[in-house]
Amino acid sequence: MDILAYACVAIMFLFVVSRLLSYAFRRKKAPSEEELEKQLLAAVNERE
Amino acid sequence: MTTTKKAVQLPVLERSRRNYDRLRTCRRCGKYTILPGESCPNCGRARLVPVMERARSRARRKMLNEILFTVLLIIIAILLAQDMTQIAIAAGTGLILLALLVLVQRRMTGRETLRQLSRMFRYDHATIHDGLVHDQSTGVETVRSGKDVEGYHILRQTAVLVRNDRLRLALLSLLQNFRLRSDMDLELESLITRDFDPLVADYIGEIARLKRDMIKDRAIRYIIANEPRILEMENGWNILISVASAAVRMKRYVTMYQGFIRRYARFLPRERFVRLYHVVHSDPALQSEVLGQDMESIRAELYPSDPAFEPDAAGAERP
Repeated sequence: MDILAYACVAIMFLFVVSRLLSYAFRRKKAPSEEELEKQLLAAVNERE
Repeated sequence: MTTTKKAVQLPVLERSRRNYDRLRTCRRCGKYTILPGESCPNCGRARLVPVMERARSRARRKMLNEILFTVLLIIIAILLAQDMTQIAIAAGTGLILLALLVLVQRRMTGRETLRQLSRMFRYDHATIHDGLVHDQSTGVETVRSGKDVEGYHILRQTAVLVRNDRLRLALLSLLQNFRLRSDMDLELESLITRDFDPLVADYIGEIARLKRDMIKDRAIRYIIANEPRILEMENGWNILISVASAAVRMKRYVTMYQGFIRRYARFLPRERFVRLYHVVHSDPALQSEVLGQDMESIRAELYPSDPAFEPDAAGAERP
């Protein structure tokens, strides 16, 4: 049973670290407000 | 032939910082609309929220799920622990990781919201498009029911996102029926079409008479590019003179569009020619150009002893 507890802690550790790395990676790739404006205009008008 | 223009009061289009600020989505049916109003135009429920708010709530929900999952793992680890040491390790590690996660999430909320918004635009683009088409139809129906001004305002709001010449010409057709005034909330740049249309040229000419400050590069270039076709229009000559008159307010335009201004300098109203004369004479480079020579010959011919052309009688507008 005690190994399960440590496994749980390990899973939690891996999960949180993966989330933190994901945030760190996405921080650089987050769109700016100008890019969002262009994306929306392109999405709306490309079908015209 | 003159058409009777209606005296109207145009509603002011409130400007938003970003074009997507005005876009809203229904929390119930997922449809989109850019029009104001309490109820969703699709399902009728009062569950419309700005897309930014929807994106923010999605980002927060996602982050909350991560926190809840971490808390669940902590609880499971504690329940599975055999002794106090293991409980302490599980709880201590869990709390440290949880605190770290919460800290990073707080710093990333803004960016995650923008990411969620980007996802919404990517995956819902067809729904957004359909919503705006519906908004446009609402505008057209409103015009057809006789409510010109209201219909114009609806179409104008739709045009914040929908950028096509069909909508621009629809708006210009409506504006043609209104008696425009300088105190109205009017637009110009967003209504200039890619190809030539007399409605656009007419409107530019009207704006040049009413609000010359609105005449900028794009409008001037449109007029110059379509000059021959404008000259074929009934009031084409007036349009060209009006735009030239507006352009002389800034030295930059006089420098950039010398050829155009030269062609109509002789026909400018006196006060606009005075303005142009002083702009040219304030710049030695311009003065030495053909435009400068033209200014002198026109002045000599039309205003031989007019004191307004003396150096100390420069126009009030800034060069």
